[in-house]
Amino acid sequence: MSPSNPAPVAVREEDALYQSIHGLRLRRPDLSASRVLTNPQRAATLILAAVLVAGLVLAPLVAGLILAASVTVLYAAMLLRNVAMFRHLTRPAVTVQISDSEARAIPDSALPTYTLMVAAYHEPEVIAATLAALDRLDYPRDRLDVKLLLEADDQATREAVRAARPGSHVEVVLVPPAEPRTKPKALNFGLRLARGEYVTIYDAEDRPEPLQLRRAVAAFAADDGRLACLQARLSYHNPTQNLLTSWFALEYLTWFTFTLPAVAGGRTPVPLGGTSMHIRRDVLEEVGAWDPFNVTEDCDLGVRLYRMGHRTAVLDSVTDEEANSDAINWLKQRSRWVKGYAQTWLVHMRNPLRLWRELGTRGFVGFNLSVGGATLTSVLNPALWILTAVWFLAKPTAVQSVFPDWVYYPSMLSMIVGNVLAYYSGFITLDRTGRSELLKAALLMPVYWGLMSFGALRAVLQLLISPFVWEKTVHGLDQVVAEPRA
Amino acid sequence: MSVGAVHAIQPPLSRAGSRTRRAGLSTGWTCFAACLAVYLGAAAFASFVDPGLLGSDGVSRVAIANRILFSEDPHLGAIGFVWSPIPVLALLPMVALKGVFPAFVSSAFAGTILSAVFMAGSVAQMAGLLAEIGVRPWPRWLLTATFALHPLILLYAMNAMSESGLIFFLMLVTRSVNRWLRSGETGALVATGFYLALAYLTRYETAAAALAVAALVALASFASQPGPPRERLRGAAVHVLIAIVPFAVAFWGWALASWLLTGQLFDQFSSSYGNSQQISALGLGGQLGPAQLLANARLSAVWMLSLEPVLPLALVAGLVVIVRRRDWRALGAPVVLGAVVTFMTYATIDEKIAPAQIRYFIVVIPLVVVAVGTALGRGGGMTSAEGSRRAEGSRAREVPRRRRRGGPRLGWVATAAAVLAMTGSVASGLLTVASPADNGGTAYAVRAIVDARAITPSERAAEFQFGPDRAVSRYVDSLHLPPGSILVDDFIGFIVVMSSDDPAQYIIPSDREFQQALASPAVWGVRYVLIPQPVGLGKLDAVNRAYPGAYADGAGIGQLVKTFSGGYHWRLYRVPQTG
Repeated sequence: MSPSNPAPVAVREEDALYQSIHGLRLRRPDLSASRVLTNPQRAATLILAAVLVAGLVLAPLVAGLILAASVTVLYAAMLLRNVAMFRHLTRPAVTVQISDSEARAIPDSALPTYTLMVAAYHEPEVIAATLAALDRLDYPRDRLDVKLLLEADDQATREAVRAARPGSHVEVVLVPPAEPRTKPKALNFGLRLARGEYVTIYDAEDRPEPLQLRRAVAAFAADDGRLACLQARLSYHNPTQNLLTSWFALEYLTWFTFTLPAVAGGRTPVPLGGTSMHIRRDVLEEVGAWDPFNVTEDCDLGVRLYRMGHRTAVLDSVTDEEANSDAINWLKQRSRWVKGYAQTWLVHMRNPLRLWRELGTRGFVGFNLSVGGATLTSVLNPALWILTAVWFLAKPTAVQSVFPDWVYYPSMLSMIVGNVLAYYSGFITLDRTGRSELLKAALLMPVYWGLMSFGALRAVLQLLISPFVWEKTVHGLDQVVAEPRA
Repeated sequence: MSVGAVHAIQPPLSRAGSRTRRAGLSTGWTCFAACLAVYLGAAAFASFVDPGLLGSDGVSRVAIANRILFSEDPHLGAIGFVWSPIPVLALLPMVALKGVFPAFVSSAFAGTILSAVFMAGSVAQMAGLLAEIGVRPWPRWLLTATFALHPLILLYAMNAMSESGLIFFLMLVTRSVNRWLRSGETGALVATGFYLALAYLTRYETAAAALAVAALVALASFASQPGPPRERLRGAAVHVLIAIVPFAVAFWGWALASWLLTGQLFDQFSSSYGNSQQISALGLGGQLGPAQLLANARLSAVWMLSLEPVLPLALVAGLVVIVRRRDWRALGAPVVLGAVVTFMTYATIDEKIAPAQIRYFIVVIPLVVVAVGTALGRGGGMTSAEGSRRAEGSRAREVPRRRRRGGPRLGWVATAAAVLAMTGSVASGLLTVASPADNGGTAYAVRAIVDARAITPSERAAEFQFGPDRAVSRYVDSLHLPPGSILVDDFIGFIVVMSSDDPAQYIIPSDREFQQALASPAVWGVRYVLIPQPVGLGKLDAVNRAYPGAYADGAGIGQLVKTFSGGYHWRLYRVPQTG
């Protein structure tokens, strides 16, 4: 913030808050998830649903056949993508590697100011540990700009921060109480105060590897200028706490060690992880920062960066996180992710032709499969598992008639090969990363898939039953914030 | 290059490494192309000049591919489950082109080409494996040549049988197991897993190799890891799973497919045409006394030794070198091949799985070549490309490269002796393949290559021939029947159906309405029924089973129209039309 700004603090704050919530929506309404469906999307959805219902009533066999064939095409496409991903499991990962000595070689005077934002809400127990972890970062304090983003009415966390006595490079930023109380809103609020050339975000329980910032600086310096964002690898420090954390750890291990680097190297948008993403501040501001209406703002930001011509790579540096060890919490988090992926897909598919032009064919297909396809298949999986079981046990003729040979064989193949590849990948990850202690999780992985699908179904129900909750929230907020400005 | 915490990330391939790899690749391709040229010539000879060299099962696979695409009811399910699917699936692209080139089917040329391709691939893999176990170029090429030109290998590179596919996938398994044992690369273990699955889908006996690989990987992994036993056990379990899951999926997936389409999980055993039924139809498979078991064991030993007289010597030499170097990882390659040989020996002695045939011992040939290569090789040989790919630091396996005792001169003497001995094997193999007692089906045809007059008409009749059944087919074609109007079981009648210009006129067991048509031919619109004489495997014919005595008197099906007795005896009955 410029010290010469003459506006009174209260007004500046209101304005900052308003911009944090509505900045993207006002500048680029087409890229904001504040509306779930645009009118054409709504019309298309209704027409599709009507045609489907009418088809199932009037010509159930034909409609069933078309449905079965479409689902098979979707799964076959996902299978092709997964096979492509699978090949990366046995190859050297394509990550940006900066050695320890390279990272340390940069003189302190050459290091730019780096903004670290940590959004914490109701987390008084972990905040001291967070500050300690950030203290271990190997970076000159006078070039660190740490923003602790706390909700103004979260007294407990504020108290805990005071007790921890952070250094002068740590600034506590109080986000005024306002809905939505989401991380992206807090991040946007913090970003307006950021001074760093680069910005990164950490969650409260994160433990970044000490040289991470230096590695990021070196990687940005070594690049030709198109590199705008580096995603560090996330890993869990409590993988053996219980079966759930083991599963979660294994999933992350595969995702961040192999899949994400492969996606980043593959000329398709990279769905970012929620923390440890390092980004040039000028780019972040240019693309409109985070969308507070998207519940997976990280995934959305990755896609938006790519659309606007910026490149993302995976940085070979690890941030340890805490895996969700509680099933209910895990389920909520998973539902949020699925919902967010669905939001992201809907936002960017508002104008498919334009998206196609911006992403290229490869990027367009990649986006549709890794964001849209992944969401849709995790919802459809349980239904298809049940259908397969019914088919094997009872062989009903109805199933037979909508699965003629040319649908039946590809669908059976996709089903078997797809599931087996996913299962098999777990063991390969264990061997490649030397983490055989997760063997039990890998063996029981199909149970985890069941949980994932349950989370996905929950997300879809939320979308179906209360799709307007978001819009309502928007309106309410509009009035609350707009009043003082008027 | 990388942080300590991130041991999973491997450095990218170095330029030099990828160049070496490319060079290795192109030698492999040269070897493949050279062998393919020779084998394709042989394949054409077998298909067009002397079909007596063909294997009847191989021709039957071409017939299956033909019925999948061109029968009255074309569908993939017509593949059947008595045999593994890959040898048939691989034929489909060529068989689909029969409109352009009818000989692909009518002369089983698609089948002979496929065996040539697979065998050329096997030779290229053998050359690659020998390089990887450190055999120097000259002995390596000579050894590869004794493999490529071994008469039984040559025969199975042209006779349309699936042995070539069996050897090809076994060589891939062997090579990747060896690579994993040397480098610890996860990729090599994954490759092992997939090759084992493909091998199983090519020939069922490779299940023995899968068991051997599982044991080998478990032992090697457990022995080489640091840490407490519990951790090592877990690590070993991960390795075994990577090596075995694809095989297990192929095994159960195929069984499930079989169950879906036939109601039997393991149709190869339980089917009315399966091995068990074939065995009993041939009058084998009863309880064997000790004398018979002993005789079978003797027969197995004689066959192995006549194909490869140096077998015992090669195994001992290989083992001595392994023990002296304490290079236990070198056991991998011979153990994989040895497992299949052991299993087939057991099957031959036991007689329950398959009737004794010399072809079941074909894996002895690559086994001996690999054993000799192990004895001659430097052991632990690895190209620089592999060295650079092997980046998993602590888990890479180092093999001490000790110089062979006795210096280079003794090395050359040993090499010369080995190559000479292997040349002797080739000669012995030729005698074996040309001996009717050992190589029943094709020995006469092999002799006829050298001297066409040496074969008598009755000997000619004992071997595979297209002629008589083609005559049956031509007669049926001349009746100009509509689709689905002549019922025949193509288990015996495969040549009749595949030789036809219009295979859709036949109704065969893989057609989904076959059972109903068989139960009431007249009602179903069947006009003719073609029945083989119920002798030997002819007893398994569906019509003979459904209507005992049908061959002799029609069993009420209809009236005798014609008897064919050129080769297999067939009778054509006309079904009276109802209404």
